Amino acid sequence: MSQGGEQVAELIRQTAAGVPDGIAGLYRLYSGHLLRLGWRLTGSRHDAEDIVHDLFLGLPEAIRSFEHRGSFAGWLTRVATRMALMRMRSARRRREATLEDSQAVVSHSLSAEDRSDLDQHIAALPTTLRAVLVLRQIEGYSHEEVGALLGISPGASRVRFNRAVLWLRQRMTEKP
Amino acid sequence: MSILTRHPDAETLSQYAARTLDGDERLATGIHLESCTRCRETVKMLRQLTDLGAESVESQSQDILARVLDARAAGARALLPTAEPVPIRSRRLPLAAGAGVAAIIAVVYLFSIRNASAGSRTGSLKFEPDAPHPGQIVRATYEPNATLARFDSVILRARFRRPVDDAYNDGMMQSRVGAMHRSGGGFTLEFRLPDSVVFAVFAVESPGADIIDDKDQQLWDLVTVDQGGKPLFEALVQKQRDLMGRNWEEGLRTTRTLAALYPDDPEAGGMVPVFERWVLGEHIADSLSPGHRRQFAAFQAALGEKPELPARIIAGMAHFAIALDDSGASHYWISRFQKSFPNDPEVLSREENRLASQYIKGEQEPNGSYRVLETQPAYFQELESVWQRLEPTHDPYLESVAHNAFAHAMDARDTAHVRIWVSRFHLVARDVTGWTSDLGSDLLQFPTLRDTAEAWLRNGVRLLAEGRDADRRLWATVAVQRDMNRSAAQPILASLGKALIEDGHLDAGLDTLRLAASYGWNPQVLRSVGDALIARGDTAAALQSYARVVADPGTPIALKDSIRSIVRRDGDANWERLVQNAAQEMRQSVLQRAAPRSLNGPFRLMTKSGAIHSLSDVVNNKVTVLMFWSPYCGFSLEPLHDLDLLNDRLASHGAQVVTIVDQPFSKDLEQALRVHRAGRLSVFYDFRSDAHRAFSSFGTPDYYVLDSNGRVIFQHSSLEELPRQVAALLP
Repeated sequence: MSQGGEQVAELIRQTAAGVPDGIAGLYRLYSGHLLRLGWRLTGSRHDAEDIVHDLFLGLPEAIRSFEHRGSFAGWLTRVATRMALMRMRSARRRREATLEDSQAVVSHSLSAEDRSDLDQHIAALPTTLRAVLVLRQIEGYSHEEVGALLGISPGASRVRFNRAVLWLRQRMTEKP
Repeated sequence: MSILTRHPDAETLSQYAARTLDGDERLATGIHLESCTRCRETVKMLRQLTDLGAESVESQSQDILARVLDARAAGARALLPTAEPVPIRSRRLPLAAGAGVAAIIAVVYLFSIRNASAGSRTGSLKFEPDAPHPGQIVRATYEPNATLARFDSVILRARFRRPVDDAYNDGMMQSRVGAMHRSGGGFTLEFRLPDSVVFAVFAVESPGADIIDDKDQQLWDLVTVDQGGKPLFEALVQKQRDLMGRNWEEGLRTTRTLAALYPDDPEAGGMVPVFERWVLGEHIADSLSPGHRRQFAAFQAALGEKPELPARIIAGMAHFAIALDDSGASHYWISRFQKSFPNDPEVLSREENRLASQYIKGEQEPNGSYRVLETQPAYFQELESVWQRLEPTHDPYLESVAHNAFAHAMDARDTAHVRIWVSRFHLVARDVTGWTSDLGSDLLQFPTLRDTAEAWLRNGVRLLAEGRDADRRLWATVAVQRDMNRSAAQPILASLGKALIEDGHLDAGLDTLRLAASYGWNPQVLRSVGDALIARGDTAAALQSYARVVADPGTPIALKDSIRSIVRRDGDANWERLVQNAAQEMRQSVLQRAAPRSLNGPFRLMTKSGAIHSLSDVVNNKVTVLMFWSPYCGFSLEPLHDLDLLNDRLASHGAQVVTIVDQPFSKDLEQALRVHRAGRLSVFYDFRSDAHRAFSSFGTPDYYVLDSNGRVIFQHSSLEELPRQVAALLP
């Protein structure tokens, strides 16, 4: 096991035991990526922060189900993705509210850097297309994995991915 | 290595961008990219997206961690979704060749029905079995949407279709299948599908019929199958007919499924080009026709020389040939149909057409209408034997034959044959109440038939007032159907009221007209009420009614002038105030009928110069009257000049008229605009049928009124309603 791997394994062990330093260590390593993932999936900064908050709140108990068969980052990403999707499904917020929220994210960006045009266009994608695009192209899941996460077939995932790319490319080329 | 002749899909480009595409495919994609700017840009964008995944974000919200630790210290916990989901297998099945293909399509088709998602505003209605045989017991289970969840029971309603039922749903009866009772989280009901029923659509409603779940207007459906589980030919035909006028795209999908499941049936194959023309437009349909011509040629080669063929096959070949506009083949197959099956209802209907063209002479008027010059008695004499053979069949063709004969008798002013054919038509018409107004008004022109006409008008009003539940649309609450019935009853009452006054029954006629006026804003009816009041000497009440007529922006200037002359004669100092009040009353009345909706899907219209416009380009922030028309539809040509004048009047108010045609710009189209003095109207070509799909528009003319944001506020309006609907939307 690499030095980094050993460090993560130790943090996992501490987190499973409820040690605050372990939770804080994993938070520092992964929260940035998880925040961006949650924000890209939900289109909402506040939702992304809530997801990360809840995830680390429940992590010490949930981490016991991590069986060390794959990467911990991958496992964490899948849990965060499912939380984001559950939130998207249950909130059923009107599209106008989501867009308004995403505009707020633009002016209060998660990172110091300004949000790119690409990010803005991703946020404006219809929810069902956005989820597939983010998971497939940005997070690198296969269509089988995307399908399993979203509860759709791999074929449907592929179709939505195609639509999302077409939609995004059209918006990108329309920009002044 | 293959050369790509079309753009690779996004997944291929994604794999190319990620350098995970293998061998030949990578090479072929690379060659394509060398010459395709669009795909190169897509690859660049996909790589940017991948790079986003590599970025991490340093959260500014370090307080999240502090809150997490504080909350945990206080004993808070959260349950996380850690269970790994089970991958869903693809619904796509490998297609086998030959006869197996149809069976697989049947499985895929039924599978797609079973898994159709209703969406969040609707509940879920499932059937067990979900693909029954006619006559089978079916168990329906409904998981309610939020609005129906509070009831102890709900009602399942259906429109059952038999193989003989015709296209569209006007006049189709609806059935109350039964009450669904609570079972677990949902409602259930067992019912027996009638033996004669091959297809059915369903909606669920509250016991008081004031809340309806109609699956977002799509309705749930049930397609019956044969012993092998394959959807019945008749079931899919009935599904297609049911979808006509309410979902053309699904109708096209159903037609294509039918053709795929029954590849040896020319009737099925011949429906596809017809639907493609209706749904996709002439341009796309033309591009698809070579494939259909090849299929027809194959049928021709296989069937042309066969001596004995069933009626459906011969009729199917005739219909296929007509759909392809192949006059030689259609003549051959129609002739063969007539010789082989002289008593088939369709053959008998064509015989009526032949008699009309042989014995009725007329000429085309410059405005596109047809004027009858002579109707020879032989038409009715020879038609009698056709009718005697057709009547016992109880076929839907009876309605069209009877209606044609009635119309020809009317044109000929032949009272005896009007009496005969109107009675026959009344007996066989599917939508009796829908025809009552026209038929009654027509009959009133014949002195010896006035009593019959008035009796019919009364009967029509009675049926509409009664509001039989079987006539209530599946998507309509009791209140909505009542409003629709009142709209339908208004012209019937107006005809009856005027007829009573002409017969000398002034008070009865006035009461009837007043009742008609209470059913919705209608200046013609209001004017009749005013005239009747004047005749009775009640000037004050008459002026109030006349003020409503004058306040209507659609009232012709000449009529307004004649009313003003009455006002001047009888005098009324409050006239201007009466008109102002009436205008306000009109606005309120018109807006009560508003049904705002937004348009979905792409919306591309072509100008004469070939420029493509979106909906917002077309509406241009103006209240807009939108009209669908066709240069080959006389009914839609007649109102063009009135629309041109209306457009002139609206321009000064910041509103406009826009028209959409279903044909490319051509000399015929230009000629039609010139002849009908409508050269100044904005005309757009619906080259992708986007507008027809978005508006669910079928038939021409068809009118809509949109607000300045492009939302549809009034749909399927009448020409007369347009000015006041626009006025109601202007500031």
